[in-house]
Amino acid sequence: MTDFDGKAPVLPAIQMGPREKLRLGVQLVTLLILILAVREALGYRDLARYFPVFAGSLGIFACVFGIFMDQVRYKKGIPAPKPAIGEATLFIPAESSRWTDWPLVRAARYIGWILALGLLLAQFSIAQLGPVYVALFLFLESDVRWWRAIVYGGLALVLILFLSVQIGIPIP
Amino acid sequence: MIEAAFEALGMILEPSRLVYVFLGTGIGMVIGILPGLGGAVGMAILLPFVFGMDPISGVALLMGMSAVTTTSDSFPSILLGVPGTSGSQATIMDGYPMSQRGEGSRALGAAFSSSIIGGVIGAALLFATLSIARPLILALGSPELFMLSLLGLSAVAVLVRGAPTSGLLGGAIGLMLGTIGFAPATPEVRYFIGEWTYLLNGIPIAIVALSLFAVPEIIDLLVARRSVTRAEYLEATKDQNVLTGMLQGVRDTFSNKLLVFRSALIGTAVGFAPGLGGSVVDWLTYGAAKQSVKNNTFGEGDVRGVIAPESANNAKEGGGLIPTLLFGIPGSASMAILLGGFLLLGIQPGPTMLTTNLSLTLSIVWTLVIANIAAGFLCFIITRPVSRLVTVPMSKLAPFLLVIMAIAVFQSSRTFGDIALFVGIGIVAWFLKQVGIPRPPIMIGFVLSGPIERYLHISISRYGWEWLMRPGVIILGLITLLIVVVAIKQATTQVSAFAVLAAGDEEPAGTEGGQE
Repeated sequence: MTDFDGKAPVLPAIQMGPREKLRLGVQLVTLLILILAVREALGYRDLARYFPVFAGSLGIFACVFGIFMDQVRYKKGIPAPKPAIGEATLFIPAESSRWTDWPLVRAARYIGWILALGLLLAQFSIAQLGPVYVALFLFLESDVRWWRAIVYGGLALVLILFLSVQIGIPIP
Repeated sequence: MIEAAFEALGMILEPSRLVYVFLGTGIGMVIGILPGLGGAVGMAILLPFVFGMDPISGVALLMGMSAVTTTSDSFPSILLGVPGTSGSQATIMDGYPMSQRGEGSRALGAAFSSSIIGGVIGAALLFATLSIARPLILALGSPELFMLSLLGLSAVAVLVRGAPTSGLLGGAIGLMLGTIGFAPATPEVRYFIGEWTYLLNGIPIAIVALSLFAVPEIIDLLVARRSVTRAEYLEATKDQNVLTGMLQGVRDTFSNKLLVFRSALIGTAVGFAPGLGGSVVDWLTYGAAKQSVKNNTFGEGDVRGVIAPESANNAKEGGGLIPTLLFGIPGSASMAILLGGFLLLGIQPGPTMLTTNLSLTLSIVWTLVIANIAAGFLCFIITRPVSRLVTVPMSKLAPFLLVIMAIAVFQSSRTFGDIALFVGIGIVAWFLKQVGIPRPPIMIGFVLSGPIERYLHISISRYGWEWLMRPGVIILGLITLLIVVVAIKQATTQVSAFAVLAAGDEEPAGTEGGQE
């Protein structure tokens, strides 16, 4: 599903790659959150408060076990598993050395588009914003000519009005 | 039961409801054709729109969509060698070589006809199970249902990617997300952050489903920047005699009746088992077919290598519905979202699906049958125009999808909190996908958190701690423990295998699994 060409760079032994470090970081942060959650829940004895402890304990078990396994792998000098097709090219550009083409940078750009949609919706109605958003996205990200982008924006407006009027969905 | 089945058929054939079956079928076909988007993403996008609908129509829309993504996903698999959904990966093995030597339409004909038959067999097996399982299901009490939910969650967590720790972590995150807000039985508030009253009622399921599945897929598809050129597409569909080729494919399917039936049986069984689902079923049946079919040329363009996985991946929907409907335990992400749809429509899965909601349950069986047949025939009729959808790049579809998703999530509680959570969870979900924490257990943990907590509360209120001594509870508890222990042991063995491979300067294989 990516530009991945099947020739993944092999990470040297006894060195945690960025992916492993990131995974360890996520596990540690999650562990901290779960400990805080359980600590909060332990102050209460009834079932409603006890239940989240169940979830938290399961998570702590998973985190501790995961960290243990990562450490075992690290100590034994086992190289990181070869990335399967469709993953793990996030930090290593597959085809181009331009930093703007790095998958992580591209992902950040698209996350930015989603954030922008959320933030703009706080200020505007989607009926006003939706067509402009679609046109801008297509013009800037899809190499669509400006007049076509406007046509697609119009299509988005029709779609929004259809959802609003025909199906009776209230539009934000 | 037969009378109830005909009554349900009458209900689903009402024009106002049938239109939703066909609408769902149409949407499912488009979702299946677009590489990278599968049944779970489609269902997540549709989920918010079913709120407030008549239950039969709402379920018809969702099931119509879900049932056919595995039919139309044959287009990209066969014509371009790109899996349309995670359940059509094995189809590429023989479908794409056939397409390259000018037999694309024959492969498509075989895929569509075996999909129709597989889907109908899956629905028939679902119906048969409903009839047989009825007395057993009605005998289950809250303690057994609690243990069954726990079993389902554990199985999904440890089996979904072959990475039990990540799966368990995902399940725990889902359970935690599901416990936010008021407790179901008492007025206790959990994880109430600051003064944000939005969280008091918990996180709406539609937002979790969309954020977990649709947002990460769209970001990754945009990042992947897949470019299927028109030239490649035309090369793949170069055989001009489409009708003759398709009829030949249908004849191939009927001359391999036993293979179709056997693959459908495997598909239903895999669909029934929690945690296996879409990405495994096609490879399992492909492997089984390769072992059992004599004089095969699998991997070089053997039509039987298309028939087996396509029959199975449509049949798995019927199998997946068995635990979802009867126990309220989803075996895959799309079934978890469907379960969320039931809750939005005011339907409580479990034993009531065989008593008060029997007609609704049977209408689902009919929806499966109708959607599979309709999608199969539609694929035959409009092959050429529809197959061109595979050439549409995600960068042109993404803004439309994002705007529709923003409208969809806003239906949950109609406050800005919906949008904020959608964006926030979506970004976190993308991050989790990158670090290899599977998302189906998160979704299933979220959906099951309510029933698990409710069943636990009822069990303790009614039986005290004696419910733990019930035979059914002990058996189910032991099975759950066994599944977790075996999975952890396998993970430990995997580490040892890595060590052996590292010593030999070899790279171990990746462990990527499907998300569906």
